[in-house]
Amino acid sequence: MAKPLIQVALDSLDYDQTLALARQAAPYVDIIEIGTPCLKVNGLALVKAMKAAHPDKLLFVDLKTMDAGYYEAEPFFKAGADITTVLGTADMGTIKGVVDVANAYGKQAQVDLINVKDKAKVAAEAAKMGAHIIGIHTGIDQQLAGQTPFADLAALVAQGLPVKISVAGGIKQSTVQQVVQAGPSIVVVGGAITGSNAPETSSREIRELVTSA
Amino acid sequence: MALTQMALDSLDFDATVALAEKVAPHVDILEIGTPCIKHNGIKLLETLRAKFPNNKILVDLKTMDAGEYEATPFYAAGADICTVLGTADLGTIKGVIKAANGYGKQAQVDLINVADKATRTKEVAALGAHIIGVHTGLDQQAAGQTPFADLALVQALNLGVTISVAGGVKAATVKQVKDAGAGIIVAGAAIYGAADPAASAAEITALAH
Repeated sequence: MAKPLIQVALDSLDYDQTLALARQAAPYVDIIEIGTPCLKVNGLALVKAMKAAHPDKLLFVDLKTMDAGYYEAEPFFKAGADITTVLGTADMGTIKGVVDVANAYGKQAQVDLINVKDKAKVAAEAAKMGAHIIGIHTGIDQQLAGQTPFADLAALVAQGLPVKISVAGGIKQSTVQQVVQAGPSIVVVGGAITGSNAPETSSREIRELVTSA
Repeated sequence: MALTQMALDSLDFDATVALAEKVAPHVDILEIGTPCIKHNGIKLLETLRAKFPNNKILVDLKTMDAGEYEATPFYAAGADICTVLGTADLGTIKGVIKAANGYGKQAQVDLINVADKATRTKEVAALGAHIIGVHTGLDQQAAGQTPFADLALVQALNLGVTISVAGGVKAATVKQVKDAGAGIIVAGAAIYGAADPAASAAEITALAH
């Protein structure tokens, strides 16, 4: 089985610190994610700076779009985003807008299943609409309440949809191999790298664990 | 009497500030729309806050996760109201309300695309949400939907929470929305699409007040 791509989620609010963390993690990851709070504070300028600093990495902008799909996502694809996200709780018209604009730029749209009640149904609808990636996502506030993404990941993989599957939600060194074995295309790591005293070392550890899983 | 709110939905920094300059004297609340804030970041809020001390400012964050963490910097920078999605986890909504209360400001729960609006409205009112946003999104308006039925539904719950209404409201429908119980009326295209945005804003505010 092919190894999943590794995505680092950058959730600092500070512009310079975000770029510094990306530099430390970049050698060991495939995808650099600008997290939602970070994007809302820093705007499109950070997307451009990140793309310029890491032209060889895929750039993921976690827009979590809820309305005006095409309009909101287009400038980000134009500025160098390779993947943007749209919420699974959005209207299907909004999801279609993000899928359409991603296709117009030869890029990818990810549907985030965070807090979606009927995940199997929305995943099937989004896949039918042409979504490129479905994201299983246990949010920060849900993690604080003790939730994990493992059961949802297994259910989505078992559904066998023709999409890539991304998984996020507190994944760390001790759990990453379990996640890889469940068969996702993309594994997202945030706090285990960005909250580490040595982000570069933690990134390397995650890479080694994924490679040997 | 209802307050009026102007939704600024351009992506361009300077065009947003220029439009705000035209309409600010004629509306109560300036809204930085979601695509606009994602595009321009917190610097735009700081600029508008400094230029328009007499208007309230709503930042349409549409937060879906990490509620307190995401909203706090915006309240710190002078936002009077931030929005959180009604489709978010209640823990996220609670986090935004906590951040708002910490700054003596307000949290608005946006009911856009919420399936069971009555249940969710009761839940978030119990958590202390300050404003409930009845919101027919742009993509839903394009499919022919309006916010009127949802406004009647939320108003009938009689929870004592301020209701904000957005979704294609224009001069011809302001009075209907106000009489139906809206405390805040949001206008976007009706103002910025007008030949004279200032005059259009003044007309809508006169009808709302």
